[in-house]
Amino acid sequence: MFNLLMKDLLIQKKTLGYLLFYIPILLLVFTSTSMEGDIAVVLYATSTCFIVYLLIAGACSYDEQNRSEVFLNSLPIRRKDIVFSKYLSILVYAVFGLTAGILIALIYNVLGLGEPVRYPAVKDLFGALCGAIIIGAAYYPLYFKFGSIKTRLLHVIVIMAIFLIPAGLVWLVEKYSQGTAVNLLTQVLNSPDWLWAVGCGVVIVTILLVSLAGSLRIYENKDIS
Amino acid sequence: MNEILEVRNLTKQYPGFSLNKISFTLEKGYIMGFIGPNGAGKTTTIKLIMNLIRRDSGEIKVFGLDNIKNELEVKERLGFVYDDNHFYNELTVLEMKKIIAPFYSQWDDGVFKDYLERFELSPRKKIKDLSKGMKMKFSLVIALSHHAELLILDEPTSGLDPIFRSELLDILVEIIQDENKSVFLSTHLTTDLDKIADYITFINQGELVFCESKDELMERYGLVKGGNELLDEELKKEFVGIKQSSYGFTGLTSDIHRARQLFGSSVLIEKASLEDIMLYTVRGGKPCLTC
Repeated sequence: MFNLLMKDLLIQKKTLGYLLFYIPILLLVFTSTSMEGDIAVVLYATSTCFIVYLLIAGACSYDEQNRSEVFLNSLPIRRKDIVFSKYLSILVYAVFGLTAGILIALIYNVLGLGEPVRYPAVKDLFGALCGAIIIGAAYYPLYFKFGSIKTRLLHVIVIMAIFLIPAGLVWLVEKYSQGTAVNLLTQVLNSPDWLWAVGCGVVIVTILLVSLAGSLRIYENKDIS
Repeated sequence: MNEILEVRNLTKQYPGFSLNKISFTLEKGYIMGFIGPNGAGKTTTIKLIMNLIRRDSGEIKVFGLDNIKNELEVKERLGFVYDDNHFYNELTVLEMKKIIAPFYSQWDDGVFKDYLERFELSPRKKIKDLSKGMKMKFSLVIALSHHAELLILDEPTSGLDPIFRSELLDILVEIIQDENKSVFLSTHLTTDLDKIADYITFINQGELVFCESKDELMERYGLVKGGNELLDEELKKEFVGIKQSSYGFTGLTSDIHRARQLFGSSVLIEKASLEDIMLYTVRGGKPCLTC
């Protein structure tokens, strides 16, 4: 699995080089955004999600362009290991993304471009990791089923659905529901941070496991041609 | 156990095409040519052997092991060369090796370097900058560097110039000097097999036509040439395929002795090449477009 992970990094050596150019761009976007409150959370989550998506889509795209699934599956490798390595890569890419976020914060603070941005705390790491997992969990089953090109479109739809459906449900409950549902929603929204973290953790792990199981099922039964 | 590859009643169905109960075996130390026209099912069979696609029914044993249940062990000992390039174009020969080598426990860097030198492949060259022939050679280097016992080659000579083709065939002959190794080579260029194959497996439209030793085939099959007045409808049925023109007929028989009994000295009987066997079998009794 480690070898497959290294393979995904090696085939993206150019993209990894380009990341150095993305950092000033992200910095520019970040400094031109006038946001109130704790902007560090947004910085670390954004840089992580952006880079995770870029590297996931890049590795899959290289595999598809070169039709490399044929040679990979002719090597002594189990299909499930190919799937596991893709999911494991989410973590590695998240580390790259977070590092980029820290570099941006560092440059921002050293150059004194605004109010100093704090360096990542546990909640930032947690938020960035949740974002990375959602992106990967939505991407891989689609990729294994439909290939890279269709997935780029479908992935946007799935990600929007993941973020918009809960927000939509909250809006619907607030607008049309009364009594128990509103009370329940108020209780949830006013829950302490630790409860939110546990709740989010459970949801994210569930999404990850469902996605992994789906990818394994799809890829184990796929005809590689 | 001498069988290195056993395929029994292999079936795979697609919309509009099916591979229907294909069976053949290959023993250690031999080269088997796998022939058939385009679309006959050669690549499908190879993909089933490599477990790239799922079989509907049947059995494939490589080194006496089921190719699905013992997939890793089987693939450790298999080498493959495909007709298209599947390596990463942006990587160099050396980088590609770095990706592949860790997957094989028997990988031998010394052998890899020796073959690179022998084939004049630069380790620093990118895959995209290699010619088709060089890409094929690189695939072969990879297959040979982990001491594969069975080489599976899918149309390796298509699109190559005669010098490259001849060089490849020489290498394959050299490989089976080690009697524990075998080569399974699919092609529609039958002249390659005339030179090197020990056994021929012929499939057409997903059906097995025959699997026999090449020498026996050459002794059994023949081209019968004679005047049209010698033929009637019953005698035409004796041929695998027949071409007729106003000058006479040429028919392929799968039994030279019977043809001699039937026609005596009134016809000319010549040896048939693998190309003749394939052409007449595929075309059957259909009129030849060029006649």
